[in-house]
This record gives sequence, structure tokens and C-alpha cells, in this order.
Amino acid sequence: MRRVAKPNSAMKKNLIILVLCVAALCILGMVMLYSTAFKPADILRFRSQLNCLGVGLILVPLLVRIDYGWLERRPVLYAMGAIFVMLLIAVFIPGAGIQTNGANRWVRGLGQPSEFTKPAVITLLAACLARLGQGKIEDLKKGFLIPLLLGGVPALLIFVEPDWGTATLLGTLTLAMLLIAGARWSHLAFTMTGASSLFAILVACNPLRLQRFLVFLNPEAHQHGAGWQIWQSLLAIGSGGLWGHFLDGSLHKYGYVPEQQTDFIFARIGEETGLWGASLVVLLYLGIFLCGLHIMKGARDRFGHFLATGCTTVIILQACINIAVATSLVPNKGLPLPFMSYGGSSLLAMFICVGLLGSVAWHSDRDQMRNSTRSKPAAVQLALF
Amino acid sequence: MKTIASPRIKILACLFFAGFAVLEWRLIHLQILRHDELEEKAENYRFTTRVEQAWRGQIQDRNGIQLALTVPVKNVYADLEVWTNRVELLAHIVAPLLGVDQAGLSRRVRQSLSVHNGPPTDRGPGVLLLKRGITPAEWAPIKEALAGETFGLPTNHLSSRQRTMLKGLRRWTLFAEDDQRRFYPHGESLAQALGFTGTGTNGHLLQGKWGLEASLDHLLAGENGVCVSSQDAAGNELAFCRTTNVTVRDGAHVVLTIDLTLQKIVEAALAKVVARYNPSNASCVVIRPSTGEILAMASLPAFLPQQPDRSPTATWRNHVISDRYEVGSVFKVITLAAALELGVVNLKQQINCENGTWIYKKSALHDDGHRNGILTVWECLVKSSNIGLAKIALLVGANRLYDFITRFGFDRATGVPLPYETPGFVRQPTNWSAISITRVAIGQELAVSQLQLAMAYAAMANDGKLMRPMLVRQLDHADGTLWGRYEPKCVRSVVRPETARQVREAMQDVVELGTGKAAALPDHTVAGKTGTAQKSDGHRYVPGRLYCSFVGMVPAGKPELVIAVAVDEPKDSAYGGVVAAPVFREIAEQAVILYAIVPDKGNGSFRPTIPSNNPNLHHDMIAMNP
Repeated sequence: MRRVAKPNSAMKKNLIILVLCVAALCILGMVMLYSTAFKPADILRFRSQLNCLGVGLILVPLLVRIDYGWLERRPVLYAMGAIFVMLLIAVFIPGAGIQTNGANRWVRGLGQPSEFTKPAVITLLAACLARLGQGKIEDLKKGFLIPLLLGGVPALLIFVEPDWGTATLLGTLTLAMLLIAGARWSHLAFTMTGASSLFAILVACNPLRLQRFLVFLNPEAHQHGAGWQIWQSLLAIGSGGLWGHFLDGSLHKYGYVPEQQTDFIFARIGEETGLWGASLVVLLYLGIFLCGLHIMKGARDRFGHFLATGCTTVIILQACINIAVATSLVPNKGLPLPFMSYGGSSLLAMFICVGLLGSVAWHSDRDQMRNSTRSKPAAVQLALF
Repeated sequence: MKTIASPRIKILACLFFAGFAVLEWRLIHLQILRHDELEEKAENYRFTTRVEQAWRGQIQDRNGIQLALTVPVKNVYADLEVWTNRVELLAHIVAPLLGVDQAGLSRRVRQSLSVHNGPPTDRGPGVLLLKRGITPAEWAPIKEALAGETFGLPTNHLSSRQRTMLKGLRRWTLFAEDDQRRFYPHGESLAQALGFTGTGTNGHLLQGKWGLEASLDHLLAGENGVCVSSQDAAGNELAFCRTTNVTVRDGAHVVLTIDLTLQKIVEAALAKVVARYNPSNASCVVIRPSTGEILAMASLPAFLPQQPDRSPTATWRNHVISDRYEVGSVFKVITLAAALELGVVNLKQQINCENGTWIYKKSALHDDGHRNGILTVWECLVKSSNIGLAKIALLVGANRLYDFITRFGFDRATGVPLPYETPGFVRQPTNWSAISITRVAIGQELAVSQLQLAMAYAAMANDGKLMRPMLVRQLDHADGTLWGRYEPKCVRSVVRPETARQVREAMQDVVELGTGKAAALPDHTVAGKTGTAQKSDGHRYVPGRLYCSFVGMVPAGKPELVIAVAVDEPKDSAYGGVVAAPVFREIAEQAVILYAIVPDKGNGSFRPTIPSNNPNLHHDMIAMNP
């Protein structure tokens, strides 16, 4: 008699809260996207986002029900690694890659590989770290450099696209997972110092880049130049006040904030829903984070634990950085707000992360793990539904 | 159960919780603490006020001839942002186009640039006004020349950056903004009455500063179109955001009662007397007595309303309305009218004129030049006897004389729509000294304006009815349709028609037999009175400073025109009859033809005596009279 995998009641609650938070963010995001849709092109964008949402409705439950254990298999991991390195290189190949705004971020027909790299890097790292024993993590070569390379190579490839935001995000994510895995503090500190000084040198050697980097300190002084976007975002958020102007009353959406459907959708939320709405969004991400924490703790194995850590970190980190950019707390990075910003690749990548997180929650029963140390391949699992 | 969870999760959790706390604090900071400031700054970006300048209306004479009109001009500016770093190059290109000195131009630009050389701002260094008021026709070739200019860049194979730069240079090296300029096609004609305009400080491009331009500014200026609304970042107006929306209303056209043809006749006649006697000023006003319309109103020397600042401000003064004089003998008619109206004398009654010197209350009164014995009242006026009129005034009495003076309107402004009209100066009888009545009777100890006097004479000509002077005949909307017409208005009936007729008959003899012979016309009867007044310096009369005047009407039987002429301080010769009366004649003999006034004198052998080469008269008008 085969036991059907079922989460325990505490995990079930986590899962429900997680899904509700994500759903609420998606719906609010759609409302905001609709609020900025004036032209026929905007309506098309709204529809394509709706399509992606529909795909997510199927994708997330599917991922939740599939046992994440099959991802830990070596062939799957190697194949995944190879595919993503190829995709990240493909963006530079004329014909396959599409150049937009001077950056190679797109692969024709496949969206932005850098977005999908996030769950892939998480999986690879989680698998790598899970295989290491408790002691081996302190070994410099096996326990630190190899995981660092797993995260570092894609980050480097994305860095030269150039997409500094996603690269920084991936780097931070790798470090966070290494931290959780128990890497030596000295290793972490050394890597962080090295990476940040390299970054600082790259920024500082170009005065124009330095100026654009430091604009967030005083966007008002550069409001007619490099600080326009940030300053308009601040004006939009600030003019929202406590209650916001609602969809019909907000006037700052008419072209003042560039990229307000994507990276700066938080400016929309701030102006139209006020402090209450903006705080609700922050609260929803906090909810996702808390669910993620519980799922991490309740994971049935180390792979699940690291997978949950990675997925939670990438969602929350990205959300926090995005909101911090919109409120001019950190330099402009160009990261989308998970579940809310317009962008199919980003949305689907985030759905995959949520799906993996959900899968860890669903398959958290440790007795089941003892019964079957090796989970069945995904195709077999799908057939079992 | 052994947990697999890493103890370091707590570190991660703490970091993220701190991050959330910072974000929430930042949101409160922005949306509550800085809300008002940011809201205001956001509105500054969105707020847009568009002003559509109203077109200033025309001023026309009674026949529709334009006296003042508005023409479109351009003001040329330089956008200093594109001038930065290439002042000499651009000055070299622009100076010949604008017709200005290249060195001076580049110096001005450099100065403006150095003013803005403070801390660099994103806004750029601003703009500089290079030339004011060039015509659109002058601007078009400049614009064209700049559009084809290469600015020292290679003619082909430009990089995309060079192309953008070239486009910016062609567009912003010089740019023009619309402006309005007031144009007065008839030069000095009617200058003091028309006035002039200056740069508006009330939101309009042009604002009336003097004369009719100032007093009718509210009609001529119209109403600017104002639209206060919100805009998107590209500057497009947003729907349903207008808080103020006023449609532009162009200024009204003002049609005056002035007849430009007559005005030029008057000005030519005054110019002659000015050339001959070199007075400090000469002025004239022509009134149609039946309506009170002012047909001509001139003061010399005049100025060019186009460039008022090129003439001394004294020439701006409209002497017809703004100056008050002790007018002297011309005022005797008022005294006579009062006496006749009250019936205290009749024209045949005899008055003892004391052989030229009369001591009244220890003060001597003289008749100039004549030693008159017994004269009739009629002869007193014809010979302009001071003693005779003083005695008549005593019969009238101070209070009743004052009453008539006020009824003729000498104690207040006439209400003509011009700024700075003097109300005259007439003291209450309670403030009169014992001899004041004998002085007021002959036009001393009171000061009146030429227009007040002319209106009083017009009342005499209009069978005793005092009219309100009219200067504006009608107002037209900007599109030419009638807005409103001013109707003649009778202020009051001052004397009976019979009295007025008697006074006119007496005045007719002044011209035919008395002091005003020089005013007589060959074919038309003229009634009028001369005046030669000594001017006082505030304490006593100054010998040699005289105010010569003549007020007359034609034809005497049923006057159609009242013409008042004044010559202030003529340099030699000195009598109103000699200086001012010929001016009257010169104006009147052309005016009777202009208005086709039927001759009422002589034996019917009427011949027009107009100099045939007078350019001020239309040929068709001369042809109308056989």
C-alpha cells in the first residue's frame, strides 16, 4: 500500500498562508498594472501578465505536489547547470540574444535566463551543500570554493550582460546560503570584502557611474538629471500620504516615473494606496518570510532545508531591495518586485521559487523520507496524481 | 527528534526583520512626515498654467480710420545652454543675422553666462533676450538661415551625437516668442488724447499708460485666456484636471467721436500759430453742441505715441482737459447769460462804464484801451468792458452768479473719459472777498479748463442745454460686431432757449463789430468771444505772460460747431482777437465745408475759399460743394 504524501497540520497552515500572501500580492500587482495601462500597448502587457499568472496557477500546485527530492539527482543537476550556462552565454550571441537598452538580457523566445537562473542556482547550491557532511563545510576547497563557484559563475555571466542588480542578488544569495550552511566566518568575511572592494573599484573608476550610483543619497539635487526616476518615485510615494489617492486620483502615474510597471511599481502602490497599502505589501512579504522560516525549520532533509532557505531568501531579498530602491535607501539596482512587477520571466521564476518552497512544505513528513530515501522521478510522480 | 535546521537561521531572520523595520520606518517617514512637502513638490511638476494673450483692441475715429492698432512682433532669445563653450562661433553666425555688433553680443552672452556660473544645476544657464519687437517677416529669414546653418560641423557623415547636437543648435541658438506692439499710424495726431502703452505689469503684454489707452485699458485689453490644469511628464494636459478655464476674449475696438480729418485741420492751424507766435503751448477743442461730441482735440507741441520717451513729458500733457486757467474775458458770456436769464438786465439797458476806471470798494477796475462812457449791455460784451460786466454781476449777486457758474459745470470735471482731468477751481461765495464778484464776472479769481469752457459755450449754442462731453462713440467686439453705443446725454438745462439766443446774437456782434473780427467767415455767421488773460504766478499777475483764447460757434443762428482755441503765452502780440481768433477762422472755414454747413450770410454768391492744395481735406468732400 503506497502512502500518499501529505503535510502535517502545522505545515499545511504555513502553506496556506504562503499561498494567500502570494495570491494577494499577485492580485494587487495586477490592479496596479491595470492602473498604469493607458495605451493599447499597456493593455497588451496587462493581458500577457494575466497569461503568466494563469500559467502560475497550474505551475505552483504542480511543483508543490511533486516531490522536490528528484531534483537532487546528479543527472538532473548536471543537466540544469549545463543548460543555464548555455542560456546565459546565448544572450551574447547575435541572433539568439536580443539587445535592449545596451544590455544583453534576452534570449529569443525564452525570456530572460537571468531570472530563471535564480531557482536553478538555488537548487544547485542546495544540492551541493546538502551533500557535504557537517564537517566538510569548513573545508576551504570542497566546502566553500565549489559552492561559491556554483553561485559565482552565473553571477559573473549576468554581471557582464550587464545586469548588476541580479548579479549582486545572486552573489548575496550564495553568501546567505553558505552562511546558513555553516561556512566559516573567515571565509565569508574574506569573500564579502573581496567582492565589495571589486565592486567599489568598478564603480569608482568611472565618475559618471559613481555619480549615478550615489544619486540615491540626494535625488532632489539631481532631479533634472540622473535622479529623475528616484525623485519622481519619492514624490509619488510621499504624495500618497496615509490613505493614498486611489486609482482615479493619482496623477503622478502619467509618465513621471519611468519603469513604473516593472522596477518601480512600488511607487504606484505608495501613491495610490498610501501608507496602509504600502505597509500591507511589506506585511505580505513578511508573511512569506515567516512561512519560509517555518518551512526551512520543518524541512525533512538538508536539501529541502537549503532549498527553502534559498527560495525564501531570494524572494524576500529581492522585495526588500526593490522597495529600498523605490524609497531611495539604496542605489538604483533594477530588480523587479516579486509577484507584482510586470515581466513574465520574473513572475514565472518567482512562481518556481514559491513552488519549490511549497514542495518542501508538502513533503516535510520525515517518516516518509525514511521509507523512500530516493524519491521517484517527476514524470512518475505526475502519473501517480 | 534531531533538527536539521541550522542555528544560523536566527542571524538571517534578524537581518531580514531589521530590513523590514527599516522599510516600514522609511515609508512612515516619506508618507506621513514628509507627505506635505513631497505632495507640494509633486504638484509643482504636474501643475501647468497656460495663458493665451488677448489681442488689444483698436482705437478708431468716427469714420473707422484706425488711430491705434496692435501688430504682432517677436522677441528673440538665446538659449544659453547651447551657447556655453561656443560663444564666439555662435556670435559670429548670429550677429549679422540680427544686425547687431558681434563683439557686443558675445560680451552680453558671456556676462549672462558668468552670472550663472555658480554651482552647476540641472536646469541649465537660462535664456537671454537678444532683440525685442522684430516683425514676423524679419524673423522668418533668420530662422531659415539658422535651420540651414552647419555651425562648423562637417556637412556629411555625422555621428548620431553630432546630429543631435546640430539639431539642438539649429533649434535653440535663437528662438522667438510672440509679443504685441502698438502702432499709431497717424503719428503725432491726437497724441495726448490717445496716450500710449507700455509693457504690461498686469499680465497683458501691453498696458495703457496714458490718455485713452490708460482710461479705456479695461476695454481695450480684453481678457487673457487662462487654463490651470495638470499635465503628464511629457507636458500633455490631463483630462478632467482643469481647475480654471477662462476662454480668451480679445479687447474691444473703441470708436471715438473724433473726426480725424477735422483733427488734422485743427492741428495744421495750431501748428501755424505755434510757428508764428512760439507759445508755450496751443490747444483747441471742437465740439458738436447738439450732442456734446468732441470732434477734435489737439494740443501742441505734441509727441509720438510710438516713442513717448523721446519727447519731454510736458508734451504728453493734454492742455484741453488737464490745465486750468483764469480765462479772462471769454468768461464774460457766462455772466451775461446769468443776468439775462434772471432778467436783471436786458440787452438794451444802459450801463455807465465810468470812462475806463472804476473804483469799487477801494479797488480800481480798468477797461483796457478804451474809455467807454455809457454803453448798452450789448455793447459791454461787444467791446468787452470789464467795468460793464462787473456792474452786471453786481446786479446778479454773488450767490446767484455762483449758482450759474456751477450750473454751467465749472466746479467739477466734465466726465470725459480721459485721465487727469482738472475739476477747475471755483471758490464758494462765502470765501469771496468784497470785490471778488467783480473779478469772477470777468473770468478772474477762478480757474477753469478749456473743455469746461467749450462745453458751457456749447450749452449756449444748444439752446441752453448743457451736454456731457462725448469722446467715445461706440464699442465693437473684437470680431467687429457692435457691443454698445454711447448716447448723447443732457446734463441739465442751464438757461432758456431765448436767453441762449440773445447771448449768441450779442456774441455774433463781437465777431462782426467788436474784438473778434479776425474770426469772421465770408459766408457764415460766427458768434464768439475773445479772451486775453494775464497769468498769475500765484500771488500777482505777471506782465507779458498772457493766455489768449477765442471760443466761437458757427453758424451763429443755429450753431453746428463750437471751436475753442487757446494760445498760452504767445511770445509777441498779445490779444486773443489777434492770436486766437484767426486760428478759429482757419479751422472754421475748412470745417464748414467738411460738414457741408449751409451759408447763412451775404447775398448768396457763395464761393468756397479753401486753399486748393490743402492735403487734409478729401477731394470728394470739396467736390460735394459746387
